Order: sequence, then C-alpha cells, then structure tokens
Amino acid sequence: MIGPGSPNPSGLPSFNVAQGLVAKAGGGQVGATPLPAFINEITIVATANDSVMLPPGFAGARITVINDAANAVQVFGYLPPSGAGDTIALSTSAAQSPTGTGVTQPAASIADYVCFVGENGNTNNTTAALWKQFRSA
Amino acid sequence: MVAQVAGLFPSFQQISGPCGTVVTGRDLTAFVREEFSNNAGAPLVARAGGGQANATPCPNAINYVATVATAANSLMLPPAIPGRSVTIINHGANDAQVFGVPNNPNNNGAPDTISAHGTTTQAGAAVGVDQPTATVGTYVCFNAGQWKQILSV
Repeated sequence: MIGPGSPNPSGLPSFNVAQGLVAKAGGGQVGATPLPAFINEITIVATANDSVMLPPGFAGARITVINDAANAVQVFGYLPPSGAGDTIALSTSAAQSPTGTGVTQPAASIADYVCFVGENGNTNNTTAALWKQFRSA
Repeated sequence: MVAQVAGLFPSFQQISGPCGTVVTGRDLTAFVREEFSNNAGAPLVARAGGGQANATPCPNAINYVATVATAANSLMLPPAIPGRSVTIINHGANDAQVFGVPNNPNNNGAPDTISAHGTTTQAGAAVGVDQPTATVGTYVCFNAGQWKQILSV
C-alpha cells in the first residue's frame, strides 16, 4: 500500500508486522495504543476493553489485528488533532459505531479492518474515515 | 494510485498474475488497480430485480454496497483470475446475491462460479451466492473461474 495513511514504519509498499503490542490500560480512544503496522499482534490486554487505535484511514487500507491476549480489546478509529475521529462498523452491523465508542474484538481472534471511505481535507481538519471490521468464523 | 502504477510500468501490455496466470486486454487495468492499489470506490447500488445479467459490477478491491433495496438484488465479481481477492461490504438493508461473470475471457469464455462460505460446492453460475446484510465478504479466486466466499461473523 502507498498513501498518506500508510502505517509507520513502512511508508512504502511493505509487509511490516508489529508483534507484542500492549493495549492501553484503562481503555478509551484518547491515548489508545497505536497500531503501527499492516499486521499487528496484541499480546497484552490486561483488562477487558483496554484499547488500541487504527492509523488514519485511507480508502483501500486493510489492517490486520491479532488479539492473542487474555481479554477482549476495544479498537478505535484514528482521532486527529482536530475534527471528527474515524469510525468503525462492527463485523455484524451496518452501522458505524461512534468514534468514541469503538468496536470490540474478542480474545484469541483475528480481524481485518478495511477502510472504504478515506479521510479528506488537510491534516489538521479532516473529515472522518469509515472502516469495517471483518472477523471470519 | 493507478496513475502512479502506470507511471512505474508504462510499457505494460500484459503481466503475469499469481500462479503464472497471464493477464491481458481489458482486464489488465482492473487487475493492476486491484493488485497494486487495493482501492475502494464510490458506494454501489445492487441491481434492482436481481439476476446475473446486468448485475452491478464490483470493480474495486474493496467494494462498499450502500443500497440493496430488495433481497437478492445483485452484484457481480470481476473475472476470476487465480490469486485475485475482492472484498464486498454489504451495508444495504437486505441480503445481496453475488454472481461471477457469465463469460470469463481468461477461462475460455466459461462462466465463473462461487462456493458459498461453509460449503465446498460451487454454486451454479446463474444461481450465485447470498451475502447477508451487514456483513463483509472476501471472495478469493483459487482456480481459474472459481471463487471461494469468506463471510464475517
């Protein structure tokens, strides 16, 4: 993938992976642990609903999250410095969950997050991107 | 994104796809778009009345379907080329019926078929497969002319 929303540290087409991520204790969107790669493995979710955050959404982005931790993790869209945060639709819902609510991803699960509407506008005043969670049986 | 790819490879006349498949002609642009840009397009409307003929094409790697006015209104995948993967997000109010193309130029003009999630049987080309409302499905081509559906839970 190429684009302004490419997760660090790739920037260019790559197949980067981040292992051993720790979800933010206490949960919530603000300060949630960033998901820095295309494939992200979370190993510690100390308490249910501890949180992680997707990168800024660009249309066509696909981010994989592996929750290898003991508890469900709460996944949030990116929250820019100003303007609305990105939103995610739960795998089983057609409705975008509010940006400050996020979506849950169970323990011992894998999910893709696909961005079907990317952010627009300058980096300090974007319109929100829309993501869809994809968990398969 | 497509322009960037075209700029990098201006002399494309044909390319080798996954598993050695050679992609030429009118499918080349779509193939390059999908394989290199993973693009998403404008919201789609499933074809009213359903059926394979004139079903709404899903031209992108990620296809967002906003409207399925009536159950079984229809969508069509691009030609099945081994290694190709197409994602459909059905945020319409009803189930959509997904079809392969009726005439795949990369498979001697034969119709493409799809195996529904949870089955090993390819559905009839003119039958297609159901994709429930509020789901996301990925369609993976594992053999020329054949897709496998993977649905979200």
